[in-house]
Amino acid sequence: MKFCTVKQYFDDENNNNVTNGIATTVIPLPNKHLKIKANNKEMEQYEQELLRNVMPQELTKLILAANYLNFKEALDFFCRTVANAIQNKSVDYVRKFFGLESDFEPGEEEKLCKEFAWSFEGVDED
Amino acid sequence: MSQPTILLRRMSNHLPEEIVLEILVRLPVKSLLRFRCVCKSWYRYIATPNFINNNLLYCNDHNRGFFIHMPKTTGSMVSFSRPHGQICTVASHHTFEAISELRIPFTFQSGYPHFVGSCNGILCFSDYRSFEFKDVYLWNPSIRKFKKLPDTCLTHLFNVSLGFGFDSQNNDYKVVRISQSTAKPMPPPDAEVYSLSSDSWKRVGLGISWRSNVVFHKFNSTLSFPFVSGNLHWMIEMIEGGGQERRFTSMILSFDVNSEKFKELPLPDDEGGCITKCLTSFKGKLALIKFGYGVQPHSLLCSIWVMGDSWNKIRVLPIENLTDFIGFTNYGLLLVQKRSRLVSTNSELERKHKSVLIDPETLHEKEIQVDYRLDVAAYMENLALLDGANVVSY
Repeated sequence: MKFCTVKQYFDDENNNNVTNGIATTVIPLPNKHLKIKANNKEMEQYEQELLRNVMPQELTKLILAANYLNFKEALDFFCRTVANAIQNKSVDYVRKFFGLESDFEPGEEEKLCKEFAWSFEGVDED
Repeated sequence: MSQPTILLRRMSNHLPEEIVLEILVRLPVKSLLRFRCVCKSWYRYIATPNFINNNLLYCNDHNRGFFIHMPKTTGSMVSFSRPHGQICTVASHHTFEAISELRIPFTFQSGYPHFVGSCNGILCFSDYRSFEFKDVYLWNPSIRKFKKLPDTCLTHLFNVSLGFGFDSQNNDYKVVRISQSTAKPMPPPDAEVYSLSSDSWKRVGLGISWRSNVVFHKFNSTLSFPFVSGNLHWMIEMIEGGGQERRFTSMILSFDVNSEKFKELPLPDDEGGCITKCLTSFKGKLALIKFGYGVQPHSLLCSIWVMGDSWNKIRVLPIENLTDFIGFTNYGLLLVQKRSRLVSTNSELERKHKSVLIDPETLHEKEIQVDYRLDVAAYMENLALLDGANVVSY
Protein backbone atom coordinates (compact mmCIF):
# COMPACT_ATOMS: atom_id res chain seq x y z
CA MET A 1 0.00 0.00 0.00
CA LYS A 2 1.39 3.36 0.98
CA PHE A 3 4.53 1.80 2.29
CA CYS A 4 5.61 -0.20 -0.76
CA THR A 5 7.31 2.71 -2.46
CA VAL A 6 8.96 3.74 0.77
CA LYS A 7 10.60 0.34 1.03
CA GLN A 8 11.62 0.64 -2.61
CA TYR A 9 13.17 3.99 -1.82
CA PHE A 10 15.27 2.61 0.94
CA ASP A 11 16.35 -0.24 -1.30
CA ASP A 12 17.26 2.03 -4.17
CA GLU A 13 20.60 3.58 -3.36
CA ASN A 14 20.76 5.78 -6.42
CA ASN A 15 17.68 7.63 -5.51
CA ASN A 16 18.02 11.38 -5.92
CA ASN A 17 14.40 12.23 -5.53
CA VAL A 18 14.11 12.14 -1.82
CA THR A 19 16.68 13.51 0.56
CA ASN A 20 16.90 12.61 4.20
CA GLY A 21 15.37 15.84 5.32
CA ILE A 22 12.34 15.26 3.15
CA ALA A 23 12.01 11.71 4.38
CA THR A 24 11.55 12.92 7.91
CA THR A 25 8.73 15.21 6.81
CA VAL A 26 6.83 13.11 4.34
CA ILE A 27 7.15 9.62 5.69
CA PRO A 28 5.62 10.16 9.13
CA LEU A 29 2.52 11.56 7.44
CA PRO A 30 0.70 8.29 6.66
CA ASN A 31 0.89 7.21 10.31
CA LYS A 32 -0.34 10.51 11.57
CA HIS A 33 -3.10 10.47 8.97
CA LEU A 34 -4.39 7.13 10.12
CA LYS A 35 -4.28 8.19 13.76
CA ILE A 36 -6.21 11.38 13.38
CA LYS A 37 -8.13 10.60 10.22
CA ALA A 38 -11.49 11.59 11.63
CA ASN A 39 -10.42 14.91 13.00
CA ASN A 40 -9.74 17.44 10.26
CA LYS A 41 -8.91 20.28 12.59
CA GLU A 42 -6.15 18.33 14.29
CA MET A 43 -4.69 17.31 10.95
CA GLU A 44 -4.73 20.94 9.83
CA GLN A 45 -2.85 22.00 12.94
CA TYR A 46 -0.32 19.21 12.50
CA GLU A 47 0.17 20.24 8.88
CA GLN A 48 0.66 23.88 9.84
CA GLU A 49 3.26 22.87 12.43
CA LEU A 50 5.08 20.76 9.88
CA LEU A 51 5.32 23.58 7.40
CA ARG A 52 6.08 26.37 9.80
CA ASN A 53 9.76 26.39 8.95
CA VAL A 54 9.52 25.34 5.32
CA MET A 55 10.03 27.98 2.64
CA PRO A 56 7.76 27.83 -0.39
CA GLN A 57 10.74 26.86 -2.58
CA GLU A 58 11.38 23.78 -0.51
CA LEU A 59 7.81 22.71 -1.01
CA THR A 60 8.82 21.81 -4.54
CA LYS A 61 11.08 19.10 -3.17
CA LEU A 62 8.38 17.88 -0.83
CA ILE A 63 5.95 17.62 -3.71
CA LEU A 64 8.40 15.61 -5.78
CA ALA A 65 8.94 13.28 -2.85
CA ALA A 66 5.23 12.81 -2.29
CA ASN A 67 4.72 12.23 -6.00
CA TYR A 68 7.49 9.65 -6.14
CA LEU A 69 6.05 7.88 -3.14
CA ASN A 70 2.63 8.06 -4.80
CA PHE A 71 1.19 9.47 -1.61
CA LYS A 72 -2.03 11.18 -2.69
CA GLU A 73 -3.03 12.92 0.53
CA ALA A 74 0.39 14.46 0.98
CA LEU A 75 0.43 15.53 -2.66
CA ASP A 76 -2.97 17.19 -2.28
CA PHE A 77 -1.82 18.87 0.92
CA PHE A 78 1.42 20.16 -0.58
CA CYS A 79 -0.24 21.40 -3.77
CA ARG A 80 -2.82 23.18 -1.66
CA THR A 81 -0.04 24.72 0.40
CA VAL A 82 1.83 25.93 -2.67
CA ALA A 83 -1.41 27.32 -4.09
CA ASN A 84 -2.02 29.20 -0.84
CA ALA A 85 1.56 30.42 -0.75
CA ILE A 86 1.56 31.80 -4.31
CA GLN A 87 -2.03 32.94 -4.69
CA ASN A 88 -1.32 36.53 -3.73
CA LYS A 89 2.10 36.79 -5.35
CA SER A 90 3.14 38.72 -8.41
CA VAL A 91 3.59 37.31 -11.88
CA ASP A 92 7.39 37.67 -11.58
CA TYR A 93 7.46 35.75 -8.34
CA VAL A 94 5.50 32.91 -9.87
CA ARG A 95 7.78 32.82 -12.90
CA LYS A 96 10.84 32.49 -10.67
CA PHE A 97 9.13 29.90 -8.54
CA PHE A 98 8.35 27.61 -11.45
CA GLY A 99 11.48 28.49 -13.40
CA LEU A 100 9.52 30.03 -16.27
CA GLU A 101 10.19 32.89 -18.63
CA SER A 102 7.79 35.17 -20.39
CA ASP A 103 7.44 34.21 -24.05
CA PHE A 104 5.05 36.98 -24.99
CA GLU A 105 5.84 39.48 -27.76
CA PRO A 106 6.85 42.90 -26.47
CA GLY A 107 3.72 44.88 -25.73
CA GLU A 108 1.54 41.77 -25.84
CA GLU A 109 2.02 41.07 -22.16
CA GLU A 110 1.12 44.62 -21.26
CA LYS A 111 -2.12 44.35 -23.21
CA LEU A 112 -3.03 41.14 -21.44
CA CYS A 113 -2.28 42.59 -18.03
CA LYS A 114 -4.57 45.50 -18.81
CA GLU A 115 -7.46 43.14 -19.53
CA PHE A 116 -7.61 42.10 -15.90
CA ALA A 117 -5.89 45.06 -14.31
CA TRP A 118 -8.03 44.69 -11.19
CA SER A 119 -6.58 41.24 -10.51
CA PHE A 120 -3.21 42.90 -9.87
CA GLU A 121 -4.57 44.90 -6.97
CA GLY A 122 -3.51 43.92 -3.49
CA VAL A 123 -0.68 41.68 -4.62
CA ASP A 124 2.16 41.00 -2.16
CA GLU A 125 5.40 42.88 -2.59
CA ASP A 126 8.15 40.66 -3.97
CA MET B 1 -8.08 15.49 -13.28
CA SER B 2 -7.64 16.00 -16.98
CA GLN B 3 -4.73 14.62 -18.95
CA PRO B 4 -1.90 17.13 -19.25
CA THR B 5 -1.79 18.56 -22.73
CA ILE B 6 1.15 19.59 -24.87
CA LEU B 7 0.23 23.18 -24.10
CA LEU B 8 2.17 23.01 -20.89
CA ARG B 9 5.20 21.11 -22.11
CA ARG B 10 7.45 24.10 -21.68
CA MET B 11 7.41 23.87 -17.92
CA SER B 12 9.93 24.27 -15.18
CA ASN B 13 12.77 21.85 -14.67
CA HIS B 14 11.56 21.33 -11.20
CA LEU B 15 8.00 20.17 -11.28
CA PRO B 16 6.36 17.92 -13.83
CA GLU B 17 3.42 19.27 -15.83
CA GLU B 18 0.70 17.35 -14.02
CA ILE B 19 1.85 18.71 -10.70
CA VAL B 20 1.85 22.31 -11.89
CA LEU B 21 -1.72 21.79 -13.09
CA GLU B 22 -2.68 20.33 -9.72
CA ILE B 23 -1.42 23.53 -8.15
CA LEU B 24 -3.11 25.84 -10.65
CA VAL B 25 -6.48 24.18 -10.32
CA ARG B 26 -6.49 24.97 -6.60
CA LEU B 27 -6.03 28.69 -7.08
CA PRO B 28 -8.81 31.26 -6.71
CA VAL B 29 -10.12 33.00 -9.83
CA LYS B 30 -8.42 36.34 -9.18
CA SER B 31 -4.99 34.69 -9.01
CA LEU B 32 -5.65 32.63 -12.12
CA LEU B 33 -6.60 35.71 -14.11
CA ARG B 34 -3.36 37.42 -13.11
CA PHE B 35 -1.24 34.34 -13.76
CA ARG B 36 -2.48 34.17 -17.32
CA CYS B 37 0.30 36.73 -17.87
CA VAL B 38 3.03 34.33 -16.74
CA CYS B 39 3.57 32.79 -20.15
CA LYS B 40 1.71 31.88 -23.34
CA SER B 41 0.90 28.33 -22.39
CA TRP B 42 -0.55 29.35 -19.04
CA TYR B 43 -2.58 32.03 -20.85
CA ARG B 44 -4.12 29.47 -23.15
CA TYR B 45 -4.50 26.68 -20.65
CA ILE B 46 -6.32 28.66 -18.00
CA ALA B 47 -9.00 29.50 -20.57
CA THR B 48 -9.68 25.94 -21.74
CA PRO B 49 -13.13 24.54 -20.88
CA ASN B 50 -11.43 21.53 -19.29
CA PHE B 51 -9.41 23.60 -16.86
CA ILE B 52 -12.35 25.88 -16.08
CA ASN B 53 -14.45 22.84 -15.29
CA ASN B 54 -11.80 21.25 -13.07
CA ASN B 55 -11.28 24.50 -11.20
CA LEU B 56 -15.03 24.70 -10.64
CA LEU B 57 -15.19 21.09 -9.47
CA TYR B 58 -12.34 21.71 -7.03
CA CYS B 59 -14.16 24.74 -5.61
CA ASN B 60 -17.33 22.72 -5.20
CA ASP B 61 -15.57 19.82 -3.53
CA HIS B 62 -13.81 22.13 -1.13
CA ASN B 63 -16.84 24.02 0.00
CA ARG B 64 -15.89 27.31 -1.57
CA GLY B 65 -19.52 28.12 -2.17
CA PHE B 66 -21.59 31.05 -1.01
CA PHE B 67 -25.02 32.54 -1.32
CA ILE B 68 -25.76 35.65 -3.26
CA HIS B 69 -28.81 37.71 -2.48
CA MET B 70 -30.31 40.95 -3.72
CA PRO B 71 -33.47 42.95 -3.18
CA LYS B 72 -36.35 41.42 -5.07
CA THR B 73 -38.04 43.82 -7.44
CA THR B 74 -41.69 43.85 -6.42
CA GLY B 75 -44.82 45.45 -7.76
CA SER B 76 -44.97 47.84 -4.85
CA MET B 77 -41.33 48.85 -5.27
CA VAL B 78 -42.12 49.83 -8.84
CA SER B 79 -45.47 51.50 -8.10
CA PHE B 80 -43.97 53.65 -5.38
CA SER B 81 -40.90 54.34 -7.53
CA ARG B 82 -38.59 53.11 -4.84
CA PRO B 83 -35.17 52.68 -6.40
CA HIS B 84 -33.61 49.25 -6.63
CA GLY B 85 -30.19 49.32 -4.99
CA GLN B 86 -28.54 47.36 -7.84
CA ILE B 87 -26.37 45.75 -5.19
CA CYS B 88 -25.96 42.02 -4.73
CA THR B 89 -24.56 40.71 -1.47
CA VAL B 90 -22.36 37.65 -1.29
CA ALA B 91 -22.95 35.83 1.97
CA SER B 92 -21.63 32.83 3.85
CA HIS B 93 -23.10 29.43 3.10
CA HIS B 94 -23.59 28.67 6.75
CA THR B 95 -24.26 31.83 8.67
CA PHE B 96 -25.58 34.18 5.95
CA GLU B 97 -23.12 36.77 7.16
CA ALA B 98 -22.38 39.31 4.44
CA ILE B 99 -18.93 38.88 2.90
CA SER B 100 -18.86 41.32 0.02
CA GLU B 101 -21.06 43.45 -2.19
CA LEU B 102 -21.25 43.48 -5.95
CA ARG B 103 -22.82 46.21 -7.98
CA ILE B 104 -24.77 45.10 -11.04
CA PRO B 105 -22.60 46.45 -13.89
CA PHE B 106 -25.37 46.93 -16.45
CA THR B 107 -28.60 48.89 -16.28
CA PHE B 108 -32.09 48.29 -17.48
CA GLN B 109 -34.39 50.75 -19.13
CA SER B 110 -36.83 50.55 -16.26
CA GLY B 111 -34.11 50.55 -13.61
CA TYR B 112 -35.54 47.36 -12.16
CA PRO B 113 -33.65 44.11 -12.59
CA HIS B 114 -35.41 40.77 -12.57
CA PHE B 115 -33.26 37.93 -11.31
CA VAL B 116 -33.71 34.87 -13.50
CA GLY B 117 -31.29 32.43 -11.90
CA SER B 118 -27.76 31.41 -11.04
CA CYS B 119 -25.73 28.49 -12.37
CA ASN B 120 -22.21 27.75 -11.18
CA GLY B 121 -21.81 31.37 -10.19
CA ILE B 122 -23.01 32.82 -13.49
CA LEU B 123 -26.00 35.09 -12.91
CA CYS B 124 -28.84 35.74 -15.33
CA PHE B 125 -30.90 38.92 -15.23
CA SER B 126 -33.64 40.53 -17.27
CA ASP B 127 -35.65 43.74 -17.15
CA TYR B 128 -38.55 43.52 -14.71
CA ARG B 129 -40.75 46.06 -16.41
CA SER B 130 -40.98 44.41 -19.72
CA PHE B 131 -43.40 41.49 -19.99
CA GLU B 132 -41.37 40.39 -22.93
CA PHE B 133 -38.14 40.10 -20.94
CA LYS B 134 -36.40 41.25 -24.05
CA ASP B 135 -33.08 42.27 -22.55
CA VAL B 136 -31.30 39.32 -20.99
CA TYR B 137 -27.84 39.48 -19.44
CA LEU B 138 -25.39 36.85 -18.27
CA TRP B 139 -22.96 38.09 -15.64
CA ASN B 140 -19.91 36.51 -14.07
CA PRO B 141 -18.95 38.71 -11.11
CA SER B 142 -15.81 36.71 -10.27
CA ILE B 143 -14.13 37.67 -13.54
CA ARG B 144 -15.94 41.00 -13.90
CA LYS B 145 -17.48 40.28 -17.26
CA PHE B 146 -21.01 40.30 -18.59
CA LYS B 147 -22.76 39.72 -21.82
CA LYS B 148 -26.03 40.88 -23.28
CA LEU B 149 -27.84 38.16 -25.14
CA PRO B 150 -28.88 38.71 -28.76
CA ASP B 151 -32.53 39.40 -29.61
CA THR B 152 -35.20 36.75 -29.66
CA CYS B 153 -35.77 34.58 -32.69
CA LEU B 154 -39.51 34.33 -32.04
CA THR B 155 -41.76 36.56 -34.13
CA HIS B 156 -43.77 37.84 -31.19
CA LEU B 157 -43.22 37.88 -27.48
CA PHE B 158 -46.12 38.02 -25.07
CA ASN B 159 -46.05 36.92 -21.44
CA VAL B 160 -42.60 35.51 -21.02
CA SER B 161 -41.03 33.16 -18.54
CA LEU B 162 -37.28 32.68 -18.50
CA GLY B 163 -35.12 29.86 -17.19
CA PHE B 164 -31.33 29.57 -16.90
CA GLY B 165 -29.48 26.25 -16.78
CA PHE B 166 -26.20 24.48 -17.43
CA ASP B 167 -25.82 21.71 -20.00
CA SER B 168 -23.30 19.44 -18.30
CA GLN B 169 -22.90 17.16 -21.30
CA ASN B 170 -21.76 19.94 -23.61
CA ASN B 171 -20.33 22.26 -20.98
CA ASP B 172 -22.69 24.99 -22.14
CA TYR B 173 -24.89 27.59 -20.46
CA LYS B 174 -28.42 27.91 -21.77
CA VAL B 175 -31.34 30.28 -21.35
CA VAL B 176 -34.90 29.24 -22.14
CA ARG B 177 -37.61 31.72 -23.02
CA ILE B 178 -41.26 30.64 -23.08
CA SER B 179 -43.79 33.01 -24.52
CA GLN B 180 -47.52 32.68 -23.90
CA SER B 181 -49.84 34.39 -26.26
CA THR B 182 -52.79 36.27 -24.81
CA ALA B 183 -55.05 35.40 -27.73
CA LYS B 184 -58.33 33.67 -26.96
CA PRO B 185 -58.56 30.70 -27.08
CA MET B 186 -55.04 30.44 -25.66
CA PRO B 187 -52.71 28.50 -27.91
CA PRO B 188 -49.85 26.49 -26.43
CA PRO B 189 -46.74 28.50 -25.56
CA ASP B 190 -43.79 29.12 -27.88
CA ALA B 191 -40.29 28.37 -26.72
CA GLU B 192 -36.73 29.19 -27.70
CA VAL B 193 -33.33 28.29 -26.31
CA TYR B 194 -30.17 30.34 -26.23
CA SER B 195 -26.85 28.56 -25.93
CA LEU B 196 -23.66 30.37 -24.97
CA SER B 197 -21.51 28.22 -27.22
CA SER B 198 -23.51 29.15 -30.33
CA ASP B 199 -24.33 32.64 -29.03
CA SER B 200 -27.74 32.42 -30.65
CA TRP B 201 -31.38 31.59 -30.00
CA LYS B 202 -33.21 28.79 -31.70
CA ARG B 203 -36.86 27.86 -31.57
CA VAL B 204 -37.76 24.67 -29.75
CA GLY B 205 -40.99 22.79 -30.20
CA LEU B 206 -43.01 22.05 -27.10
CA GLY B 207 -43.20 18.41 -28.14
CA ILE B 208 -45.84 17.53 -25.57
CA SER B 209 -49.53 17.33 -26.25
CA TRP B 210 -51.02 20.50 -24.96
CA ARG B 211 -54.45 19.94 -23.45
CA SER B 212 -56.97 21.13 -25.99
CA ASN B 213 -59.55 22.35 -23.51
CA VAL B 214 -57.22 24.75 -21.73
CA VAL B 215 -58.97 28.07 -21.65
CA PHE B 216 -56.33 29.92 -19.72
CA HIS B 217 -52.88 29.19 -18.40
CA LYS B 218 -50.39 31.15 -16.38
CA PHE B 219 -46.89 30.37 -15.28
CA ASN B 220 -46.66 30.45 -11.51
CA SER B 221 -43.72 32.76 -11.18
CA THR B 222 -43.28 33.29 -7.47
CA LEU B 223 -39.69 32.18 -7.53
CA SER B 224 -37.00 31.77 -10.12
CA PHE B 225 -37.59 28.42 -11.75
CA PRO B 226 -35.68 25.54 -10.19
CA PHE B 227 -32.87 23.95 -12.13
CA VAL B 228 -32.45 20.42 -10.81
CA SER B 229 -30.57 17.46 -12.28
CA GLY B 230 -30.13 19.13 -15.64
CA ASN B 231 -33.79 20.14 -15.91
CA LEU B 232 -35.58 23.45 -15.62
CA HIS B 233 -39.09 23.36 -14.18
CA TRP B 234 -42.06 25.66 -14.44
CA MET B 235 -45.40 25.28 -12.76
CA ILE B 236 -48.39 26.20 -14.85
CA GLU B 237 -51.80 26.98 -13.42
CA MET B 238 -54.58 26.26 -15.87
CA ILE B 239 -58.27 26.61 -16.28
CA GLU B 240 -59.76 23.79 -18.29
CA GLY B 241 -63.20 23.69 -19.78
CA GLY B 242 -65.70 26.48 -19.73
CA GLY B 243 -68.87 27.49 -17.99
CA GLN B 244 -70.18 24.84 -15.62
CA GLU B 245 -67.29 22.47 -16.31
CA ARG B 246 -64.53 24.86 -15.37
CA ARG B 247 -61.67 23.16 -13.55
CA PHE B 248 -58.56 24.62 -12.00
CA THR B 249 -55.60 22.40 -12.55
CA SER B 250 -51.84 22.64 -12.52
CA MET B 251 -49.04 20.91 -14.28
CA ILE B 252 -45.27 20.95 -14.20
CA LEU B 253 -43.43 21.60 -17.41
CA SER B 254 -39.88 20.38 -17.33
CA PHE B 255 -37.11 21.10 -19.84
CA ASP B 256 -34.03 18.92 -20.18
CA VAL B 257 -31.24 21.34 -20.85
CA ASN B 258 -28.99 18.66 -22.37
CA SER B 259 -31.46 17.15 -24.87
CA GLU B 260 -33.53 20.36 -25.17
CA LYS B 261 -36.79 18.46 -24.78
CA PHE B 262 -39.90 19.34 -22.80
CA LYS B 263 -41.80 16.91 -20.60
CA GLU B 264 -44.87 17.07 -18.42
CA LEU B 265 -44.53 16.02 -14.80
CA PRO B 266 -47.43 15.24 -12.49
CA LEU B 267 -48.09 17.04 -9.24
CA PRO B 268 -48.56 15.05 -6.05
CA ASP B 269 -51.92 13.34 -5.63
CA ASP B 270 -52.85 15.10 -2.44
CA GLU B 271 -55.06 17.81 -3.81
CA GLY B 272 -56.11 19.20 -0.45
CA GLY B 273 -56.97 22.83 -0.84
CA CYS B 274 -54.07 25.13 -0.46
CA ILE B 275 -53.54 28.84 -0.64
CA THR B 276 -50.54 28.64 -2.88
CA LYS B 277 -47.86 26.28 -4.00
CA CYS B 278 -44.48 26.68 -5.64
CA LEU B 279 -41.71 24.64 -7.13
CA THR B 280 -38.27 24.82 -5.69
CA SER B 281 -35.31 22.56 -5.01
CA PHE B 282 -34.44 20.73 -1.83
CA LYS B 283 -30.95 19.22 -1.43
CA GLY B 284 -30.55 18.74 -5.16
CA LYS B 285 -34.01 17.31 -5.81
CA LEU B 286 -37.16 18.88 -7.20
CA ALA B 287 -39.44 19.98 -4.42
CA LEU B 288 -42.93 21.36 -4.08
CA ILE B 289 -43.97 23.48 -1.19
CA LYS B 290 -47.64 24.01 -0.42
CA PHE B 291 -49.12 26.48 1.99
CA GLY B 292 -52.45 25.79 3.60
CA TYR B 293 -54.42 27.27 6.44
CA GLY B 294 -53.11 26.40 9.85
CA VAL B 295 -54.89 25.85 13.09
CA GLN B 296 -53.79 29.08 14.76
CA PRO B 297 -54.61 32.47 13.32
CA HIS B 298 -51.68 33.95 11.38
CA SER B 299 -50.22 30.48 11.08
CA LEU B 300 -49.84 28.55 7.84
CA LEU B 301 -49.25 24.87 7.40
CA CYS B 302 -46.32 24.32 5.12
CA SER B 303 -46.08 20.92 3.38
CA ILE B 304 -42.83 19.91 1.77
CA TRP B 305 -42.88 17.37 -1.03
CA VAL B 306 -39.76 16.02 -2.66
CA MET B 307 -39.57 14.22 -5.99
CA GLY B 308 -37.72 10.90 -5.97
CA ASP B 309 -39.22 8.25 -8.23
CA SER B 310 -42.50 9.88 -7.32
CA TRP B 311 -43.63 12.63 -4.99
CA ASN B 312 -42.99 12.11 -1.31
CA LYS B 313 -44.35 14.31 1.46
CA ILE B 314 -41.40 14.65 3.79
CA ARG B 315 -42.57 17.22 6.30
CA VAL B 316 -45.45 19.38 7.40
CA LEU B 317 -44.73 22.30 9.68
CA PRO B 318 -46.58 25.35 10.95
CA ILE B 319 -45.12 28.77 10.22
CA GLU B 320 -46.41 31.93 11.82
CA ASN B 321 -46.70 35.31 10.18
CA LEU B 322 -45.31 34.04 6.91
CA THR B 323 -45.18 36.61 4.13
CA ASP B 324 -42.83 35.04 1.65
CA PHE B 325 -41.13 31.74 0.91
CA ILE B 326 -37.69 32.18 -0.58
CA GLY B 327 -36.11 28.76 -0.82
CA PHE B 328 -34.08 26.02 0.81
CA THR B 329 -30.41 26.30 1.64
CA ASN B 330 -27.98 23.57 0.60
CA TYR B 331 -28.37 22.11 4.05
CA GLY B 332 -32.14 21.90 3.82
CA LEU B 333 -33.00 24.93 5.92
CA LEU B 334 -36.08 26.83 4.94
CA LEU B 335 -35.57 30.53 4.22
CA VAL B 336 -38.72 32.56 4.65
CA GLN B 337 -39.80 36.06 5.37
CA LYS B 338 -42.17 36.99 8.10
CA ARG B 339 -44.35 39.91 8.84
CA SER B 340 -42.54 42.49 10.83
CA ARG B 341 -43.13 45.95 12.07
CA LEU B 342 -44.43 48.87 10.06
CA VAL B 343 -41.80 51.56 9.70
CA SER B 344 -42.34 55.16 8.77
CA THR B 345 -39.81 56.46 6.22
CA ASN B 346 -40.31 59.88 4.72
CA SER B 347 -43.88 59.93 5.98
CA GLU B 348 -44.61 56.74 4.12
CA LEU B 349 -45.49 53.57 5.87
CA GLU B 350 -43.24 50.77 4.75
CA ARG B 351 -43.46 47.24 5.95
CA LYS B 352 -40.10 45.82 6.89
CA HIS B 353 -39.57 42.10 6.54
CA LYS B 354 -37.87 39.74 8.88
CA SER B 355 -35.83 37.02 7.19
CA VAL B 356 -35.73 33.75 9.05
CA LEU B 357 -33.97 30.42 8.56
CA ILE B 358 -36.08 27.52 9.83
CA ASP B 359 -34.91 23.98 10.38
CA PRO B 360 -37.81 21.81 9.17
CA GLU B 361 -36.80 18.99 11.54
CA THR B 362 -36.28 20.84 14.79
CA LEU B 363 -38.37 23.93 13.94
CA HIS B 364 -35.49 25.99 15.32
CA GLU B 365 -35.54 29.50 13.89
CA LYS B 366 -32.71 31.91 13.28
CA GLU B 367 -33.14 35.46 12.14
CA ILE B 368 -30.75 36.83 9.54
CA GLN B 369 -29.99 40.48 8.98
CA VAL B 370 -32.00 41.22 5.89
CA ASP B 371 -35.16 43.25 6.09
CA TYR B 372 -36.30 43.54 2.50
CA ARG B 373 -37.83 40.98 0.16
CA LEU B 374 -35.06 39.13 -1.54
CA ASP B 375 -33.95 36.80 -4.27
CA VAL B 376 -31.34 34.25 -3.20
CA ALA B 377 -29.21 31.78 -5.08
CA ALA B 378 -26.15 29.62 -4.65
CA TYR B 379 -22.97 31.37 -5.75
CA MET B 380 -19.36 30.41 -6.37
CA GLU B 381 -16.33 31.55 -8.29
CA ASN B 382 -16.05 30.46 -11.89
CA LEU B 383 -13.84 31.28 -14.88
CA ALA B 384 -16.61 30.67 -17.44
CA LEU B 385 -17.42 33.45 -19.95
CA LEU B 386 -13.69 34.19 -20.03
CA ASP B 387 -13.05 34.47 -23.75
CA GLY B 388 -16.49 34.66 -25.24
CA ALA B 389 -17.81 36.80 -28.05
CA ASN B 390 -19.46 40.14 -27.21
CA VAL B 391 -18.38 39.91 -23.61
CA VAL B 392 -17.94 43.20 -21.79
CA SER B 393 -15.31 43.75 -19.11
CA TYR B 394 -15.69 46.32 -16.41
